[in-house]
Amino acid sequence: MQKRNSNTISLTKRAKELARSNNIDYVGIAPVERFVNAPQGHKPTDLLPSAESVISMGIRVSLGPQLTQRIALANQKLRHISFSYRWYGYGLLNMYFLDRAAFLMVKLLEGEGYVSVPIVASGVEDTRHLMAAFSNRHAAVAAGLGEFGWNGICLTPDVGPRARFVSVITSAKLLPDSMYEGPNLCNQDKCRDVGGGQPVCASVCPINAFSFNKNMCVLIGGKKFEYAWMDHMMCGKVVGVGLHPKVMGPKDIVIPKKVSFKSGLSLRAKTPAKNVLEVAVYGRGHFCGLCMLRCPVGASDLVEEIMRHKEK
Amino acid sequence: MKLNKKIKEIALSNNLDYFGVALAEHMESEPEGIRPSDFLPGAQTVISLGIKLGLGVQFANKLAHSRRKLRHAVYTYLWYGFGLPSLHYLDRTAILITRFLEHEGYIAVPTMAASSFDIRSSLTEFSNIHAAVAAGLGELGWGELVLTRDAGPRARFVSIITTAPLNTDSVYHSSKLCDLAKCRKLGNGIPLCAHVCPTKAIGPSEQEIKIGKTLFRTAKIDRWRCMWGSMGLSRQALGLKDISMPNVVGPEDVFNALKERDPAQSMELMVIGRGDYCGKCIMECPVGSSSEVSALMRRVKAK
Repeated sequence: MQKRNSNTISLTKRAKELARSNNIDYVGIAPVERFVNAPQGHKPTDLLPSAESVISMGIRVSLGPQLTQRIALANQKLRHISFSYRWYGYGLLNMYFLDRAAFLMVKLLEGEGYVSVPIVASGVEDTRHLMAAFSNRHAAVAAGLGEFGWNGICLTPDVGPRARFVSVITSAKLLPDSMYEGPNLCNQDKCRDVGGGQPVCASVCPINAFSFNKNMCVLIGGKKFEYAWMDHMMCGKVVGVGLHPKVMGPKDIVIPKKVSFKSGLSLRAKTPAKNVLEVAVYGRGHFCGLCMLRCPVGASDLVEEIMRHKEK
Repeated sequence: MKLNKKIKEIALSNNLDYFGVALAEHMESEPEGIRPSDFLPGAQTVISLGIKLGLGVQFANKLAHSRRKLRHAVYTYLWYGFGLPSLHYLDRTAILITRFLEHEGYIAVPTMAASSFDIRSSLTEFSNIHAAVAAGLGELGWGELVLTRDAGPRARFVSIITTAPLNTDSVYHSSKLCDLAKCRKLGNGIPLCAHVCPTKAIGPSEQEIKIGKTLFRTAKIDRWRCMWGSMGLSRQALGLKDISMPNVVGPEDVFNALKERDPAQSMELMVIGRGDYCGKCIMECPVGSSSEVSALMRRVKAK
């Protein structure tokens, strides 16, 4: 038992060191018990029956890509500069930093005899249920890296929602981190004042994807979190892929009020050639991100100062 | 000085070959919307990073283009000559430097090595080529590619626009690399890059590009014709099928042609996404060409 404990401590330390030496800004560990209320088929033990721990790793979105996206969304003339956010604020961070670190983590753990399943930072979905195969956001909260904001994104104490996450489910019993116990980050009362009666994330959403009266309630590690229900189909599959006329999409495409997975596919088939070719090199990236970029929690003074100056 | 040194260390320790810094002002003659200050109000400098294409990769391209039976050799170039150096090396290093500069209190906007384009104007979103020239890494050749002293146009570049007041390099002003008169002899009267272009995307009309105070005279490039070759839509550019190219090519034409490709060709890109099937203007340029690659090609031709 003594040996197992010292192994646990040593492996946990090595795992965290590995993450940090690969440019990862956040790393935390959640025991699988914290996911007991996750939806059926999406629990760590559904994906790895011998799962003991979930390692969550996160990386910050740099200020430059945040800024270009804000400028592009505020000024249609500069629409083209948003590629910096789509790639450096999304694709590259997910694939070449988070997924790469997850891959290295798996190699470390499997080298020690523990089967480990890396989850892709973005893009893998259970298309039948329109949800992620495994929620990296929920894992980040379970691993103590932050708390849920009203926008349903994990808010870290330093940069708020401006970070991306990946998870590794492993049969290794690692030393768990406590859940986030710091001061409340998402201050809804204050935020509603700034957002004209609604939290900023909901008020800045160009397509009103956040519900006014329907909330999501989740229980993680015995702690209850509440955040807004949002239309993920409209956000991810229409706005996110650059199809919505209000968010850099083609002006002549008609978007129905409600989009199903099937109708989303038909919409994609109508994407103009230029828009398809625009993302040919890097695949895709999210065309909006305002609920994340405008959240007051962890906002950068440098970015806000430039935006204030531009808006004058 | 200290910042320059540290950034250079990050670049070189991440397998990059070229590092230079341009004064952001030197790129203010770029079209409106793609100047450094459009991306980042308060931009002071533009860092340019480059990586050379491996000789084996260059050889694979030339081999595939010279022997139809060995067309499959181009796969090495598609990935190791385009996707991997661009996305994995240049872009990854660009974000590492961006993170470093932010840590030092500056804002930095990385561009993409394999840049896409502004869909409204069809212009490149930001010219990594002009940035490399502004940072003194090479000369702007007639084919509108950066010519470095050692590898000619056989390198790829990425840029980082930043508010950091770094020490800057001068715009390239060393010895002339692109010798048009000599090159026209090699290309039957037209510069070799234009002569070998399978889609006739380079010139003959010309343009003047101002970088800093230096004026460079280059060919006008038809991006859509270039894309026709780069995406392998003609057999001469290693497509599996010749798709008829209209005189005036637009994005719709490229897109429709992509749908007309032999399905096997789209399948071969399933893993790597996309790559450049052509690259002839880069490979055939006499500036900085490798004697080893030329010797290997002579052996292939002698067979």
